[in-house]
Amino acid sequence: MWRGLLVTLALWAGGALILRATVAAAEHCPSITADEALAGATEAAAWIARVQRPDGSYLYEYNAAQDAETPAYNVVRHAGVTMSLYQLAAGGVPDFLPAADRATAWMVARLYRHDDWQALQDADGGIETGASALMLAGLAQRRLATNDPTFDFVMRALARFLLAMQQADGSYLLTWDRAASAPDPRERSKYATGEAFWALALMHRLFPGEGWDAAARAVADYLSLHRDRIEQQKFPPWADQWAAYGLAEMAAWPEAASGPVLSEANVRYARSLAERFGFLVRVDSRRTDSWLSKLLHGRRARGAGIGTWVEALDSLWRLTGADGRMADMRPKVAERAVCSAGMLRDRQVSPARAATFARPDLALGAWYTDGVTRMDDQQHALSGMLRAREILASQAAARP
Amino acid sequence: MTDFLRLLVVFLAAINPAGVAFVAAAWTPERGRRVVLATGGLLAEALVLAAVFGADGLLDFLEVAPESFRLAAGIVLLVVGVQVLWGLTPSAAAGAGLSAGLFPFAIPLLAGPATLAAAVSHSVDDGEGVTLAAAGLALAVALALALQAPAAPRVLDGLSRLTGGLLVVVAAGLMVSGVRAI
Repeated sequence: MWRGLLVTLALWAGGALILRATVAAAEHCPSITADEALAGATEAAAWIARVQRPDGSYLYEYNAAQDAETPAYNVVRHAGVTMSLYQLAAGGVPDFLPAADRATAWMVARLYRHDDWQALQDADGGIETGASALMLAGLAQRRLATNDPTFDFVMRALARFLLAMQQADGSYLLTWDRAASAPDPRERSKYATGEAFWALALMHRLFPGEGWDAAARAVADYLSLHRDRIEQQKFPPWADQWAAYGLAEMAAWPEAASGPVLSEANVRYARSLAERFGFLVRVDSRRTDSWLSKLLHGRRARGAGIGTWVEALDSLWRLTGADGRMADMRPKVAERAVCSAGMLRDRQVSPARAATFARPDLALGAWYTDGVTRMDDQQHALSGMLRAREILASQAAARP
Repeated sequence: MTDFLRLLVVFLAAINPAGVAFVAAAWTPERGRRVVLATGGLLAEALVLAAVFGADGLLDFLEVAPESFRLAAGIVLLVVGVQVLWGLTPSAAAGAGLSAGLFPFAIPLLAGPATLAAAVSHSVDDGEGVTLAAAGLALAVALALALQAPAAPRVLDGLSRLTGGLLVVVAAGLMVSGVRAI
């Protein structure tokens, strides 16, 4: 009997160890306060401002081990980084407005004009939906921060480009074909549709009554009902933080005062996004930098990756407060947002750690993965931690 | 389906009354079976109680979110379910006496890994009271059937394997829930 019992218990212990090493590994959620989140966001913005070139562009990517900068550039990420600086200004930290305005001047100098619209083009003359959408979203954040109407004309022109790129089913194609004077039907982007959605939702917030809401609703329905199937997402839903931004923005439209703005399908989609991002946070919270962790759980997500999760969860948390149909998710969404914000702050290069780099100025406040940082690591992390402040502050206020 | 009924199905699948009765009929002499089963039942109930009331503390100690543990519990249920489905029931000459009540009846039949994993997971997700009530009733059903231990090994084996199949389905649901949860 004892032999049988011991063998059984040994088998159980073995099984438990395997599970512990894999799916039931310890999940680390470093603590973070609202002030620390703001400090982290500000330090990320300081990095962006430090690496900005005189012409308004940014350092794109830096490899610390080789002390080498990547010569490539990406206009979509330029627009996204600039947007994050404006977001910070709208969040109460205007210190980096001059850097953001220099970056906007760089973009304005690269606008392509056609019919009644304008679009941001890259160095090769390519015109992509996402770049213009993020430029528009950035200008919207600037508008919210400054109430300055200087760029209203450009915003409307960019928004008209987004209307020109929108398909009948509400979806977006990736690029504008200059030769054909039409959207190129061959390519889509899993990012651009959500980016356009958020930008249009912001336009309706800033300029209600101009019709931007119809286009935003069309995208919302496409994302909610068709995107993952049509665009053959392998493990739906696609983890689209821009869609989360857009849905939260819609739920806060002025007309929300007289009734819910989101459809049932939009809410179901938002709930599925919350589940997806929550899962991603849980999985990454098990990862460490050790070789064993990398073997069993995979590599840690880079700063940009985690940043997008925090951004999404921040937006979805706002949605849980704006729409009663999401209210049951509020505590768990907050928990995952705070966990991922803590993970971000924990992995951000501190002054002490920056001193060990060959270029401390390129290290401080950044997120490095395998010795490399890219400007959108700081962008997404900045945005995520900035917007997590509200959740952290509400949790602190709720404590006795 | 109410929470209680749902959990009752989970624990009936995990405990597998037909499987317990099969072992009781095949390997426990009729004389003394009542003592063996009573001992096994009490020990199993104690283990389930410990799992239910210790669940929160256990997950805190392990630093595992309830949703992640749900996935792990689902894997445990899946492994046990597949074992039962393929007829890989524990084979031991159980004998008589209190020791047989501990092994194999309490461990691994009545309070096996599937039962204990389900107890921890559902205690955290659904509450201690309803989990304990469902597990307790499932244990009682298993003991009652084992006590009768009808001399129909093929029927019991067939029912046991069907229950194993049900456990696989329950496991799949738990795993999906663990992945899809926030």
